Amino acid sequence: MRHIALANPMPSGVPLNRGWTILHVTLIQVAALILPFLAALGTRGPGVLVAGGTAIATALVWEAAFARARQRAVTVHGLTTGLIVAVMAPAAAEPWQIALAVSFGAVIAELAFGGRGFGFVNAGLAALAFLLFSFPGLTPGGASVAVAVAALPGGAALVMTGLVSWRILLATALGLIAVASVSGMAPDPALTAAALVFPVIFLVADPLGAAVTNPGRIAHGLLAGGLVALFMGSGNTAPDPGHIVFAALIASIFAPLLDEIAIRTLATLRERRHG
Amino acid sequence: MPKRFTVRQGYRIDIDGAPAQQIEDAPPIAGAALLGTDLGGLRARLAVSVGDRVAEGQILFVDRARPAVAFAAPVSGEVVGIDFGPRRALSALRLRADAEQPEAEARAAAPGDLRETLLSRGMWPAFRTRPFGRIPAPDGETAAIFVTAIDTRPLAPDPAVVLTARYDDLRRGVAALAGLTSGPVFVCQGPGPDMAAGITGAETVIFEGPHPAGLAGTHVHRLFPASPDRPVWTIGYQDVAAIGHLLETGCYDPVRVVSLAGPRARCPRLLRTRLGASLHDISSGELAASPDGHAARLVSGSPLDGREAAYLGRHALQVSLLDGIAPARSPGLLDRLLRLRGPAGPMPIVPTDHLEHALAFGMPPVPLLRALAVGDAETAERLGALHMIEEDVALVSALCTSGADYGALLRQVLEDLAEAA
Repeated sequence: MRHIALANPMPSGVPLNRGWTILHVTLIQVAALILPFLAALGTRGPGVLVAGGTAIATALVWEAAFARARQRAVTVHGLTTGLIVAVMAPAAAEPWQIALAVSFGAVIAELAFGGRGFGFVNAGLAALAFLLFSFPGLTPGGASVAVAVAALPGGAALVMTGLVSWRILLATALGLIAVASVSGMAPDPALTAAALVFPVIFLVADPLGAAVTNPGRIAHGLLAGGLVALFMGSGNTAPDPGHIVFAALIASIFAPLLDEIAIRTLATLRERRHG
Repeated sequence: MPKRFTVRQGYRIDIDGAPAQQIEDAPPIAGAALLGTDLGGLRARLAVSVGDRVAEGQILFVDRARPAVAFAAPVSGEVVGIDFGPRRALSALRLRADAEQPEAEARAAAPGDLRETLLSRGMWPAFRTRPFGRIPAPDGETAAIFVTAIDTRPLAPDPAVVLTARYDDLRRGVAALAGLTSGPVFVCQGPGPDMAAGITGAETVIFEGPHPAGLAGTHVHRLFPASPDRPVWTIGYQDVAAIGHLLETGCYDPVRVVSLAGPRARCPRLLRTRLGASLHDISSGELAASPDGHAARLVSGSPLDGREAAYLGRHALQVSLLDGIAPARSPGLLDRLLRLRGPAGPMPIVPTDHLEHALAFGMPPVPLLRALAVGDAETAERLGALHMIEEDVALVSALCTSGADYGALLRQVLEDLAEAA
């Protein structure tokens, strides 16, 4: 049975479960990202460290600047943005390109909305999409078996803590398989899985960029998976991480619409049932 | 065989200090009060003034807008204070209790007119409507009445234990309620012997599962979804027993069995006390010392949906003794340099999977929480807000990262919707 420990109910009468806030969410995500980051570092060399350092520093500087301008406490959510970009960034990307992309991602997708949790697209995802759009010819990294394997423990922890919905993970796989088989593609299962694991866990299923209703989550995953297969086309044996980034971006943008459809459907069903 | 529902949503809530399910008499209380927080901005026409002697069950005031709705004294004693809040709403009417509580004086209940009896003897405020969670209109009609005889809140008293000695009163009360409505009377209870077996007009329904399986909102949603055109009334099991007692003896029954429990309770158990009892009196000598020197907090209600208070709330069946909040550390050098502390601003809702299990109303919780957070009454209504009252959203408040008090936000939305209805 599910259970929660009620540690310290608040004076207003609002109890807090373990006192979790958005900061704890970020710290858990950072913990889940460390292994994939180390795996990328091990397979692709010190370039990942430069990319990661640049990305994290850029994101944190913008966050501090916005905190100062708004006279709020400084936050460190840029850590996840930076780590995601570091793992997925093209090996050939220059530090200034990464800094520019992360600035775009952090400011436009997150800070302009009021900070982490108020936007509707993951900042790392926006940064990667910007990088790939603006500098065509760069091929994103991340598609290595080591990164995929290293992402699994963190992914499992995120599912257990409720920060990643298993529905999205499952639906993404189903969506990809469905579209691929309907259009007669024959992707290589191992290569496809290796390419997908990290971006699906951290970009497609990010709770702050994904759909927020259970039917919406399934639709979100199906859409993302289907788009990956579409973008991949029949010529490739495995999706390029670039395909996944754009699929995740479009799914994220459509997530509120999918939720709205889910809510209307549920409300109609309820009315029909209760008269 | 009674109907059976297994609630799959919900959580078992772990908190120290579960009460031993054995009832003791609480030491006599010195103070009691009727509180404005239970009355929803009611403006009172007072029948007593400060300094008056009152007897147990005597009418203290009536609702100025609906004078038929009367409120009775839970103790014999003296009126020591009448406080008003904004717009002359009653904030608290405080009583000093006599050391010796005399035997309650029986007044023959007018035979036949049950509604009149409940209104004039102060039992009417035991009912709450769905939607809106208010005291029903004196001449209001209801499509169904829900008797809540199950309690899944953390540290709650077990209704089966409390009712052991009051079984006849409960059944008498349930039978009487059937006369208030042309619709059904649902007695919602946990697994166990059928409490309403053989009572005409009453139907037993068994609910199983973790919290919120025991909340009236969950029962109403499953059995008889309420709407402004088709309101239902809910009432707690001890209030039904009090109605049974009133009808049998003619005496107003202010006695309630509450749990005195929580991490700071020295001896967590069930106590027989009175409506509106002073929490300081109930808990005097019952506080365990804190290992790290925290002050304790007295909470009327459960640790999940209670409120810090000086007196027992009208519908509370629990007194929770909880640790106080640790004083904030003074900011260190690093904090000052980096400005790590400071106003955090509004906190976001992280749509975790946990939230999906915390509301048992068949609609997705996160869009509802967002609607409540911005006060969007129309969207909240579409997402089922009319089926809920504060206690129903206590669990999401506990689980949500935003730290918002969704109960208070929901109340604001309900007031808006009630005004529009």
